[in-house]
Amino acid sequence: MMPVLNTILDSVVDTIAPPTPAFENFIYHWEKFMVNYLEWTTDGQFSQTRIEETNVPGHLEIVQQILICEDQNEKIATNLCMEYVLKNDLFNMLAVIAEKEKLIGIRILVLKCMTNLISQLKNPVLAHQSFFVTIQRLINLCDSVLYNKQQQDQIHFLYMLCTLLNNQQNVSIMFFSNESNMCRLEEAKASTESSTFNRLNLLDCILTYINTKVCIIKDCTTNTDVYYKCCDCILLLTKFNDENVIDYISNETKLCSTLSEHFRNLFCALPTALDYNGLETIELNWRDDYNATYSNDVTKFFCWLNFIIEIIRDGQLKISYSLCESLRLLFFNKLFDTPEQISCSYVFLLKKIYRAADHTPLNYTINYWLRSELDNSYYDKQTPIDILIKLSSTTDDTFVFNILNFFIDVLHDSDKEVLDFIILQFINNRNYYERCTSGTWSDEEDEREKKLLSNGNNINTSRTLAPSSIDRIINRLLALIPQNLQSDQLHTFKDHITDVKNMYNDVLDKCTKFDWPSEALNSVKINDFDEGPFLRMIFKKISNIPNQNSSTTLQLKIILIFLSSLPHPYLHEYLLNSTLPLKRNVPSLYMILCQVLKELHKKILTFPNYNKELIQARKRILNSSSIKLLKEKNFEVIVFNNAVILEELCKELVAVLFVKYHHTNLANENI
Amino acid sequence: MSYAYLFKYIIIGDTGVGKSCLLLQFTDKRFQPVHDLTIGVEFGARLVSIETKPIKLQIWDTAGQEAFRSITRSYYRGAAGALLVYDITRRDTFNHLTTWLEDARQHSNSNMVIMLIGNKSDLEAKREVKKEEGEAFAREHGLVFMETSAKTSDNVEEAFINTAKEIYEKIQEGVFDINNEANGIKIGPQHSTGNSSIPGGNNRSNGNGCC
Repeated sequence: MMPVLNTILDSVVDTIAPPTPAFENFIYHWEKFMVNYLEWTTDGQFSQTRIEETNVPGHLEIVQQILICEDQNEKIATNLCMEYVLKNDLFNMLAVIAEKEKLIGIRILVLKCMTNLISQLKNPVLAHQSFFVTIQRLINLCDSVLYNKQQQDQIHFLYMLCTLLNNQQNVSIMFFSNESNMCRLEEAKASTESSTFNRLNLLDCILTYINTKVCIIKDCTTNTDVYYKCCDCILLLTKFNDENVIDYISNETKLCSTLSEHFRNLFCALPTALDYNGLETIELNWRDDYNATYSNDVTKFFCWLNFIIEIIRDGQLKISYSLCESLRLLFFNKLFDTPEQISCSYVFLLKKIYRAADHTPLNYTINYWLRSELDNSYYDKQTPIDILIKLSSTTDDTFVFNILNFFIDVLHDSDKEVLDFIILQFINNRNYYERCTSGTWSDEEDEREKKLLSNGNNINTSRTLAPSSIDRIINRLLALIPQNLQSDQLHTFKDHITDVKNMYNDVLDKCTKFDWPSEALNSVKINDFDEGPFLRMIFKKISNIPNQNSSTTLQLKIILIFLSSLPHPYLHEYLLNSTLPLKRNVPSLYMILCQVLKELHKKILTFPNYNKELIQARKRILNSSSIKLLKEKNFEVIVFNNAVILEELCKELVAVLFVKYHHTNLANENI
Repeated sequence: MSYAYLFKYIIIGDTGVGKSCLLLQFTDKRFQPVHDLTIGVEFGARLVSIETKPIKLQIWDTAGQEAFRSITRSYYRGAAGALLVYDITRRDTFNHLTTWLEDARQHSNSNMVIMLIGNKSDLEAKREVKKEEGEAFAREHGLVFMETSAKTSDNVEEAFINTAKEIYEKIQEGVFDINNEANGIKIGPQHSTGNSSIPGGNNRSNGNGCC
């Protein structure tokens, strides 16, 4: 090292021909810096001296200030001192000195000096080989795995660099391209210590701060500062608008795998039992809530979730997609690795993730994952939806509650493929329909069908909406609750019309693009009917209402109302048209409701003052959420609650029928 | 190092046409047969004399590879002269001139002097682009043309200096606004005494003075 530096120093002395005091000063202090450094590290020895005890920092400080001052006083061209620095590769010399760190603290000194330069120079010529190679060497010196004591200074340097690149995005290609990587490799080969030098790209270097910070930094403020800067750096880099950089970040860096693995680690570190009450409505923000007072692991998980979602939402689309795919492989696919792991909390968290992913590409990824067959030893060839349906047969009320809640969110999301997978694929062949009936009202419907086919547009109401029997269908539903067991004497569906109408409009908005058929028509093939695992589970749970808690009943009601409101002809007639002839053994929602209500009413009639109890239950239901109902253990209260919920269900189903019927008529009138 | 004017140049053209070698020949008077690909930008400076006036040429050598095109583009602005280089032994480098020219015209100031250079004139045996073709292209697009050899240094000096002369003439004619540094021209620090506000300017014998 010595001869090389001496040669450089000689050339420095040789070229001293200062036209201005500033340049002369610059050379003087640079020379003094080098001489001083060499004196402390005589014969290439590692010195035990701390840098603060030497004059090395003083001279470097002046060198740095002259460069900044020169830059501020000049406008366009690179200035004399800076020209000299670039021409003679002085920055690179600093980087070499920092790498060797023969004087304790010189690595951070150089890092701070370069941080000041890149943050204060008006136009640091980062694209210049001499500048760029130096910065690259310093990036390597910020690897938090290898250098973990001065994380704050290191991340500050990386942060300033990212900010600068954000302002000069055209230069970012220098740090994210195979071409510049090749150059670095060649340079590494030329260097004698290439084998010991692990070359990191800027983003991968920043990513080293994600995993190491927790165990090493004791000081909380420092920890938070490192965390914020690390996250900010990642956000900046993932937004860069250069196709080559985007490709490089998606394909060549560890961004996606690191973020996904960290997410999984945080997920696994969560306590097995969570306080759902506190977490149900909470949405943490990675920037504001990192220091919140909740349990640390829980906060960290939700902050990280929020951070990942921000990258997916705001980052470049290609990077978002890569990250989603990586989350699917490294996080979601591993969720069901072993059946013992799947707990109530698991499903609860899944729901929280699903909600957080709303309106982002991750939503599509989760929907895709939900209906994809898993490839593991225990759940081979089963999809997460299948598994969740099976799990919902548990007797653990909270578990069922969380699973149904998750399904409610999934249904409301209205992903075409998911709806098809869960329900529509089972009913859109019309195999539930009994074609060979005689003497029933359906003749009337068939007649109408014939007319429809012959008269084209003359009949303006969809046959699927059963225009000739709509009154009968409505009356049947309303009559399910005998007058003496009504909690509301008005027993009208009109109160529900506004809500149902709003919901129906939302659903229509989402579903028009699905290109669903407008009429339920018989398919050519006749097969046995299978309502599919989801509807089977729902029907089973409805049948079980007299024996289960009322939060489940409330959730079933939400699911049924949503399914009924979907503008899908087959689902509509199968669920709502109680006059439709069904094949033998095909479960009918109406019949199930009849049986359940019969059983429930029988129980109710055994209580004295049941009318008063029903009115009280009605008040309770109107003021309660599902989660509150979940805690109710009193059998009597549950029976009355369930009865009132079913009463409202019947009225709401009528409101759905009403709204859908009038909507089509109105639409046809407008035509 | 005192100069009357500073002219900023940019050297552009396909990868491997000899841009960096031209610069090295001009600034260091040497030829490097094997030159690494330029990554980002490099620069060199030399003092020349035009009509007895010392003029400093600050030359930015850019990377020819497509990946670094966005960096190259940012150097057009603020350049007074451009050397657009092709390799006479590679037809494709000549064919790409139009793209380079469009890029240069789009991103530079309208008065920028562009010199078209057919490099590697020493490799006559491998020639794929005739001198006349280069001349015709230059004529058509209003450029100055010259064939050079960075290896033998043939015409290298002239290429840079002739460009400087053109710029100088334009200054004399008042075409260039020399006070607008975005034009790539700067008036030299004539008898400048430097900036006394520079930190450390007067502290050579104080504070740190043990060394």
